[in-house]
Amino acid sequence: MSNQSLGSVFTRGLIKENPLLVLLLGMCPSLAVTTSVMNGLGMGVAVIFVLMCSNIVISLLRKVIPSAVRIPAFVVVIASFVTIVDMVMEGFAPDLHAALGVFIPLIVVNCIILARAEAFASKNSVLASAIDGLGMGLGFTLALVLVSAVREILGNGSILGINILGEGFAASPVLIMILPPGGFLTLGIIIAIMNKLRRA
Amino acid sequence: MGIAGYLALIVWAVFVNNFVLSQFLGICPFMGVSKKVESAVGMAAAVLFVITMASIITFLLYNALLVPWDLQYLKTILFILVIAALVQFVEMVIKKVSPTLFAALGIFLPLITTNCAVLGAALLAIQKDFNFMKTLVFGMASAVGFGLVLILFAAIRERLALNVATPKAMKGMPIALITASILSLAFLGFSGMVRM
Amino acid sequence: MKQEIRYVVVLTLISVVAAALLAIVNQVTADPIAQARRAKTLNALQKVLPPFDNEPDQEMIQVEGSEIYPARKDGKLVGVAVKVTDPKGYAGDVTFMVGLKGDPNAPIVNGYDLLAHKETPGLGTKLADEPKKPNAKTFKTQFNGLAFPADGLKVVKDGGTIDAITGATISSRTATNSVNKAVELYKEKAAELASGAAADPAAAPAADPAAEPAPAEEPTAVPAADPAAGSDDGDDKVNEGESPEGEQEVDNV
Repeated sequence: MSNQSLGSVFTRGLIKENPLLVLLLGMCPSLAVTTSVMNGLGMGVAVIFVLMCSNIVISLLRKVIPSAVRIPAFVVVIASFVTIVDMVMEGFAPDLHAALGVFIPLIVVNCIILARAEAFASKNSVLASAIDGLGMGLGFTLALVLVSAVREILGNGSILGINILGEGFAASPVLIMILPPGGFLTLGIIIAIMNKLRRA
Repeated sequence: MGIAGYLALIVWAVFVNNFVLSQFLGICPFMGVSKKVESAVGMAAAVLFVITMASIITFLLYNALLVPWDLQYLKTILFILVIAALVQFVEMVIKKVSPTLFAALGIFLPLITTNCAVLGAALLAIQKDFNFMKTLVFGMASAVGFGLVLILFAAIRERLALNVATPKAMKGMPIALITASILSLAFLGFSGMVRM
Repeated sequence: MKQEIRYVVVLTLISVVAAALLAIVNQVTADPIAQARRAKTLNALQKVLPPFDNEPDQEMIQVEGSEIYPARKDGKLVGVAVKVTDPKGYAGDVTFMVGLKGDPNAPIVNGYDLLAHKETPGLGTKLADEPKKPNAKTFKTQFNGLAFPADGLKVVKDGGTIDAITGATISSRTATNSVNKAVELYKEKAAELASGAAADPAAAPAADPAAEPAPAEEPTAVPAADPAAGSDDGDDKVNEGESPEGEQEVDNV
């Protein structure tokens, strides 16, 4: 991967290899917490933090960790950062913490993070790994915001809590969009559009 | 809590609060291992086994180790390590004891470590302050709910694969998600039936 | 063998460093977490209580899983907030902070704040809707300054006066049930609450110890509670019997 410039390491996570919309990783949180843009953003920021930190630490330790025990070692590193996010969020953003609930500790099993540790951070320099983590994290956040914007606009008539479709719509919105079926539907249609655009 | 209470808990975990369709836990294997009914059955059995074992072990460790020492904040790390170790251990035991079972479940076991349904079941049982029996019943029932929709979904996808009319961009994941949406809509009908 | 020792050493080191790091973060965040939790309670108290100058959460009394927060001004009880959890929500527990003021036997409901719930978005969640314009009405505003009827609050469908949220009768019932429960607890603990300031000298630092207001409160509060308690309790039992049955009928349908 040494022939790749740092710029391309950063940008490919955004669209070309978007972890959610193209690599299809991390679907559980992207369906569960995308009922409002705020929740989607909060989850995205948490994932960026964990992904960057774990990528950096794993890259630093890549020559120390024997490959036979790398997976448990990676998991411990990831779980530590997830626990830190969990505690910090509970103290400083309690409402967001309550809204995201069990999906914060579940970032541990978000395939994106272990996949980047295994596929990138364990083979690349610290700087490249940090940038990879940032790019992939931002790509995931972007996808979460996209899904949650569709769901919040249609399901609640608002974006970031601000009504944009008028009182009449807000009084009887398309509720199903913020219920579980709306999550599957929105993600399915967005991935189909991505497929269409990538082939075109 | 009497028998009725446990029955209510089972109905709640299998149908009302289905892990996949209403809690969004275990979506990755739900999408990944649902192309054939046969493999779906294998995955469902492996998950049932691991969730049940993991619920018991994490409950005991949490209450015997973390609570007395005031270390509850280590639960995420401890649970994921327990699950990873458990999966390895189960793999070795099954390989020795029953090669037939291993042939059937073997390839699914490593996938379970990153199945958030397992860690989710352990964390939710702690969050809801369940006692030992409730944790066990909740874990098993949730796994049954997971297996049920996984097998249902696989049967639908087997048929869907035969449909040549699916637009190209919709093939694979998109149409699977939209199918899941309709299935989830059906399960929405159970909401409010039992309250926990 | 040498290899295996290395595995163990590396994994142990990583785990020890991780645990130490988490212990530190846990220490650092323990205080903000406690403060955030307290802020949530205080915020809810401010919404449902008349102006007060004590610290209700320092005088909180726990009863059967509910919490009673007495609000005092100049040492005198001006109202109570009761945190009640109703397990009969549409999708599970619904937790309210109910504000009450006035005579425990004929209290005035001073609004509620929805603390926690899992109700259906857009239906049950209307429990929390605040009016968008000053004089507009929502489900919640029905509880502001409402005189508590002697036979308890009920939604219209159950023969009461509270208009249920359209499509969310079960969620609406959690509000009436919780207010009924709050009033019941207020009555039960009225004497204790009124004398709370006297029993706990630290609680009323502003009050002049010579002119302790609590004893003056007691003669009015206690005798009033006694004779009425008998008859009202009777009413309450009828209510308690009725409403759970009503709920179950709905469940079975």
